[in-house]
Amino acid sequence: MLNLDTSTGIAFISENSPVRAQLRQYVQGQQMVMTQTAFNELTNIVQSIAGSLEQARASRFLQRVAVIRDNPSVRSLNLQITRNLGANDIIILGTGDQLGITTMTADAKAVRAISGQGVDFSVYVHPPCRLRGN
Amino acid sequence: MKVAIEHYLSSTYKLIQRAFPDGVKQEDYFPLLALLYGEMSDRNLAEVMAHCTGKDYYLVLNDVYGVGSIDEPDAEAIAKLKDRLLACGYAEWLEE
Repeated sequence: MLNLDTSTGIAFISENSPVRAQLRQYVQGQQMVMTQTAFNELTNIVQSIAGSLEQARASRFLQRVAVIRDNPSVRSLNLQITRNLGANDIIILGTGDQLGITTMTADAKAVRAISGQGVDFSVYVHPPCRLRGN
Repeated sequence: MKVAIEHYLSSTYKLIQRAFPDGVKQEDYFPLLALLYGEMSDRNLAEVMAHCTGKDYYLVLNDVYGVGSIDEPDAEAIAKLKDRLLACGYAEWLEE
């Protein structure tokens, strides 16, 4: 099982995403989940920006993703919020930690901030990608 | 009504306010995102920039993903903007 951050969902959906093939290969055969927080962010971005191609891809993508409740681990809730680590970063990555699964994200800075506070989560970091409105 | 900025973003907000007292112009928007990208989480950068520009948070978050991707903004524009921020306490902000 893999926990997908918002940025990962966007990289899957983006038209001409240069990282989609890499992500597909990584998730192959595994159940994908998104926290309620990440799902809400993703759907807001899609509704605001996606064109028809990206909206159609988002629909197909979300059919393969299970939305789970936010449930961050105790150790994640002890992390200090800084400019490098926001509340939603903690909720999403911390929920993956609670489940003992890898979280996929494009936010290397947040991951470094967590490590800098002496906590290491299982993460897969990939390059970011934006929706193009196509 | 504008929501108050979170305390952990207040120094960034003040830095941007000092550098752009009349607001962030569109020509400076992407270079500013690119300059601050390495120093803040994606969500926090989007939040503070949305606050400073009045843009929608989700639009800004998507732009943050864009500047972090292969679509690199103009290096000259970033360097010019960095000089402007340095005159407004950027070095001290980096040291926080």
